[in-house]
Order: sequence, then C-alpha cells, then structure tokens
Amino acid sequence: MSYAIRCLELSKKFRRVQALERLNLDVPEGAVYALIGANGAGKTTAIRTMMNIYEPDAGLVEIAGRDSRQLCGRDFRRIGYVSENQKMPEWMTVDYLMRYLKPFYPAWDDAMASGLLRKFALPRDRKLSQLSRGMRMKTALASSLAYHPPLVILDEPFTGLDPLVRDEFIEGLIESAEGTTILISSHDMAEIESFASHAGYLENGRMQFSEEMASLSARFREVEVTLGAPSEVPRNWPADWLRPETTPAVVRFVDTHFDEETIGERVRNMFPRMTDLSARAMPLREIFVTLAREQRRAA
Amino acid sequence: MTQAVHIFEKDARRLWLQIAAVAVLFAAYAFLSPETALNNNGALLDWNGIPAALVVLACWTLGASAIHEDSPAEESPFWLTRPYDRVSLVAAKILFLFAFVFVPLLLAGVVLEMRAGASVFANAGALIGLCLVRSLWLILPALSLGVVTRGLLDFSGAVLLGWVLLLLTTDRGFGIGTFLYGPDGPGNPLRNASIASVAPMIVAGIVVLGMQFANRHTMRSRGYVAAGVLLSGLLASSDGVASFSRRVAHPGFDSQKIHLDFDRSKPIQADEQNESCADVPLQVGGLAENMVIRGTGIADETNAYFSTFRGAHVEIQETENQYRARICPVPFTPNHLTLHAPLTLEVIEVSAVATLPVNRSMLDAGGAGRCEIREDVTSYLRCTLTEPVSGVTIAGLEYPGYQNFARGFGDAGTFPLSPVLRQKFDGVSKDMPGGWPLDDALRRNDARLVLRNERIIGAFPRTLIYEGLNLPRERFRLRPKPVSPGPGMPKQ
Repeated sequence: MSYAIRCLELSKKFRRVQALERLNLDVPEGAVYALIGANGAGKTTAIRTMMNIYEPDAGLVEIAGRDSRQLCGRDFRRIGYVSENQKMPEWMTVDYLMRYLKPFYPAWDDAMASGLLRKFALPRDRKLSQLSRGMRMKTALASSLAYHPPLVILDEPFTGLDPLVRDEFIEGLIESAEGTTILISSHDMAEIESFASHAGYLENGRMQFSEEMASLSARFREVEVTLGAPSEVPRNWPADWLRPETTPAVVRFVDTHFDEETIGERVRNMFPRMTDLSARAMPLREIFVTLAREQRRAA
Repeated sequence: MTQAVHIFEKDARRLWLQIAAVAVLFAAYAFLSPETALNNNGALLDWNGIPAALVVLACWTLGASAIHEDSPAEESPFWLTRPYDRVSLVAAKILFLFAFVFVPLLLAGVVLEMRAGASVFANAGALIGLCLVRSLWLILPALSLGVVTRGLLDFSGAVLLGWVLLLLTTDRGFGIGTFLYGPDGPGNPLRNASIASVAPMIVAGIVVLGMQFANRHTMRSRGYVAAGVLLSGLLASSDGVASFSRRVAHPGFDSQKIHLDFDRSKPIQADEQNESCADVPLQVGGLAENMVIRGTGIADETNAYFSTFRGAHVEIQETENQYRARICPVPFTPNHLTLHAPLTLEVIEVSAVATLPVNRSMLDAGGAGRCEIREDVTSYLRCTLTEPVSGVTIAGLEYPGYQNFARGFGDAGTFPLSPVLRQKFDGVSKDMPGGWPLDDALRRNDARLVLRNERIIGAFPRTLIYEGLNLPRERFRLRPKPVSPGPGMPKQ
C-alpha cells in the first residue's frame, strides 16, 4: 500500500510543551482520513509539521514519499491546504484571489473554479475581509480544489460554521475531490463520520488509535447487560471495557474490542446472573467522547 | 521571473495608496524644496526636515508593508503553502522597492539637478551611485525589520528599539538624521569615517532576509538583527574602525612613503590670527601632486630641566603646497624646549572643479552647479553644487595677497534627498571669523572663486619632534604676513 502521508515517530516541542510525542500516522492514498482529538491534542501542530510550517524536533514526515522539510513551492502545486488559522489576503476580492492564484498552478481548472464559486454561492466581487467566516472557508476550499490536487489537507475547517454552511462545504469537498487523498482534522466527529474512510485519535500529542472507519465502528460497541439480580462491578474489570455504568439491574459499558462471538461468554464470566445482552453500534462522536473521558480519568 | 512580476503586480495593486503617497512626497520635495530651502536654515521643523523625514518614514513603511504582504514572520502565512518560488518572492520584493523607492529617488535627484541648472548627464554616474547608496538606507532597514515583524505596529516598535540601541551604543548620531545631510554631511556613508562599522547592520539585514524566506527562524533572525545593530553602534565609535574604513575605501594609500619634518632652515613666524601661536615651516615629501596632508595633535613640551608640559595644540596646515605647523603652546612655558607632537594626519586628494570670476551675476560652474554672490546685510556666497560620490567640494577666495579656502560656513539648506545637490558657503562675510572679504573682492577685477574637491584617502599617525624649539612668545605680535598669490595670478 502506498501512503500519501506518513509520520514516523514524529515529535515536536514548544518550550516546555510537548505538542507531539512519537506520533505515527499513515494516510493511504485515496483515503479520507479524519484526525480527531480535543482542543490542544496536537492536530494543528501535526498538520503544520506535515506542511513544513513547523520543523519536527525528531522523527520524520513524508508527503507523497518526500520529506516534509524538503517541501518547496513546486510541491504545493499538488497539495491543497485549508486552515482556520491561515492568514488569507483579506484585501483581495474572491475573483481576484482566483485570478491571482491561477498562474501558480499549471493544472488550474477555470471551469472547476467557477463551478465551485457558483456552488458555494460566493460573491465574486466582495473582499475576503467582508465575507463571513463560512464564506471565507469556502473560498479557501474553492481556491484549493481548483487545481485538482491529489492531496487535500484541511485543518479544523468546520470550526464556527453553521450546519448549513458545513453541509455545503462537505458536499463541495466530496464532489470536487473524488479520488483525492484528504486529511481532515476536526473535533466535530458527526460530520466527518459520514465521509471519512479512516480515523485517528490524537490525545496529548500521542496517537491513541488510527484505523479504518469500518474497523473502528465494528470494534466499538455500547454493551448493555441486564442482570437477574443486583451485582457489583467485579474487581477484575477488563481494561478494554470503558465507562462502566451500573444500576441494580443493568450494567452498561463500551467495549473497545467488540467481538460478536466472544462477547457473550466474556460477559457471562463477569456477570453469571446475566439475563440479557445487547450491543449497539456507536457513532464516532460517542467513541471520541468515551475515549476522551477515559483519558481524563486516567490522567 | 514571471512569478516575481506576478507577485510584484499584486503588491503594487495592494499598496497603491502608499506608493502614491511616497511618489507625491518625492515629487513635492523635488519640485518645491529648492525654493523654500533658500529661506530656511535646515532645522528639523522646516521644509527640509519634515518632508525628508516623511519620505524616509514613508519609504520604510512602504518597504515593510510589501514584506508584510507575504510575511515570513507570520505563524502560518498564506504564501507558505502555495507554490511560491522563494527566490521569486524575494526578487518581487526587491523589484517593488527598486521601482517605488529607487526610481522615484533617482527622478527626484534628476529634477533637483535640472532645477539647479546642473548637468544631469555630467553627473549621471554620481547621481546613480549615490541613489543606490541612499536607496540602501531607505530599503534595507525596511527589509530587515519587515521580515522579522508581522505588522506595522511591530515594525514601528522594532524601528524604535533599533534607534534606542544605536543611541545607547554610538555617539555618532545614526538614525534618520543620517539620511538628512548632504554628501559632505556626517551622514554620507561613503565619506563617513566609520563606514565599516555599518557592515554588521548590512550583513545582518541581508542574512535575515535570506534566512527568513528560506527557513523562517524568526526569533533567531530578530537576534541577528539586534546583534547587527548593537555591533554597528559599538564599532561606530571606534577609531580603529574609522581608520580601517578609510583604508578600505582607498587601498592604494601607503603612509610609509610620506616624509614629514620641521624645516629648521626657515624662520618661525607669528600666527596672524592668534598671537600666542606660531607657524613653524614643514618639509613634506612623498606626496603626489594632487594630494595634501592635514592633521592635528596635542604635543608635550619639555624644557631644559626635563619638566614636561602637556597641552600644546599642533595643527598641520597647507597653503599653495607650503606646509606649516601651527603651534599654540601652553602659556608660560619656557622658550627653548623640545616639542614632542604625536599627530593624526589625513591624506587628502585634491582636484580642481571650477574657477569663477567674482561678480554679482550668476556664476556658472559647469557640471558642478552654480554660485551666486548675494547681498543682504553683507555680501555672501551661495553655491548650489553637485557633490561627488565621495569627498567634499570646498570653495576658496583668491586674489593677490589673499587666499582662503572653506568647506562651507552656515548651510543655506541642504537637499537631504537629492543625492548630489547641496547648497553651501552661505553667510560668508568679512565680519565672520575666517570669513571672506567678499565686498573687497567685488571691487577688484583680479579676484577669483576657486572650487575644488577634497577627498580623504587615508590617515596615519606620525610623531614630530623639534629639539631646541624657540618660540619667542614676547615677540608674538601681529605682523603683516607675506602674501601668496593664487594659482595663475601674477605675483605682486
């Protein structure tokens, strides 16, 4: 398998703050990779290091097989980058921004650019400074997709966007970037879940897990055990069963390594008076919340 | 190059208002300054000072704004993740400043020269050369501080900080004042004795410009800029650097070949202007025909009882290739003594510029400019001259029995932003100490004004010793001094 992005033991420190610690991340070509994590988890640092905005203290980032430290102007003809934190030329009109950027990209597609501006309903003659936040992000996205980049990196693109704009943004992204590798960082899992093929969870600069969405969804289940008689939580509670909640008749927990064939036996071993067992698939948001709470509890 | 032009166009479009402001200021200066300069005295608050300071600040602001458009000091600048070729980016910024700072400065210089009646073509080399040097001062601070700051507020703070650092470390008055003087003023970097001391600032500026666009180590770059400013400030006061500067400028200079000693065969004469001083003739050899030496020092006088008195002022002067040491001893020292005079001598290259008649019409000095003897309370000379790239134009009044050269008295007003033009020799009258008897000269038909260029090409230390020097102070009284005719003048 070839990877569009690879991070190998990547570390980055800002003074006393260890922003990234031995981060390993593989984004396969063609994947839509959701990099999730709470605020301050290190998502933006990781992305900026990938984009050669920051230099890694240790480890390596490879973008399409090229060391990120070697990325130069020419390489960005094949990378689209949209970030909530990037300073845009606010004085430019939407139209002038497109005209200004066109000569930088040999593969610039006027029809695509116009189509995106139309789709996003962006006013061509208005300055970026006069646009709403959502419109600015859509302008940035349009200017990053109009040259058909094989890799698009989006850093927290949904922050502060209302649901309608968010939908338009995602729709535009999916339609225009078919076959493109996309890395998108966000703490808004609900939106990512609908189109991400892979997900990685970052906590305190460390990658907690990184896998395909299908596998992730299959692995996490909220399990509800109905008991015939009240029972206490056993002392030998498995480490991969998180967030246990107990009532006299019911025990609930999140199984992080759910296996339909073995779950019944494992629960019965723990709760011999079990009368019923149900397992519910969890949305990504719930998985994230579970993991985040667990991390905080452990800390 | 295409990309550089593309970025240049974007910056020009973005900063058109600032570009227009700079252009208007340059134009106002070029077209209005000469008229008003005649009525002012070059103080900071008159037309000369404020517009010049405004132009400097406007150029710096324009340069910094051009850099901030694609700032390397930003956390996540737009250009960094777009296919900008960094060499093209730097080239675009340099092209921008060339077009909107250097070219207007050059045009302003041309306009000023034409208005003053000077020859633009004859002075084209000097004009372009000095424009380039001045542009460096107008551009490099903007570039080097622009690349380590994120906005104009940051930039203003950095300028202020840099100025304070210079003020704290140097006594030579760097800062905006550096730009406000003409070529013979203290700010002319080609003539400034400590030109070498500016090198750390220039090197730091160029290094951070490259480093910021290549690697963006902003904190490190800020450190380099601060270190460059500090080092320059410290070096500016160093005599060693001043001496080195002159040698760098004129590597062919060799002090070992210059012979200098007292000429004991000629009589010592009382000084006509100060009866407590004496003129002791000197023998000087090893100098080319177009060179003279001058220098000063404080000497020790030792009497027969080996008592030493320190403080005698010694000055080496030259008139018509005749050298003398003007010695002003400490009062009440004995007559017969040994003089031990360590001197710092400057070697000056002299070249003729023009010889003009003395009358009240406009005196055309050819490509050098023009002079005018004006009459107010008393007669005085005012010249509007094109100064050379290095050196200074001096003027002398000559007629049989009189010769007096001056570098300029009270300035009538400088042309701070004109690379070559300068008004000088203002207010010279016989009533001023060292002034010229212009009224007397106007009544004669054999008086001449001589313009010449003096350029310091080297400096060296030398100690002169005179054993048995007899300075008969009781006989120091004003006596008529033998006159020396001017060049080409018939001897009386």
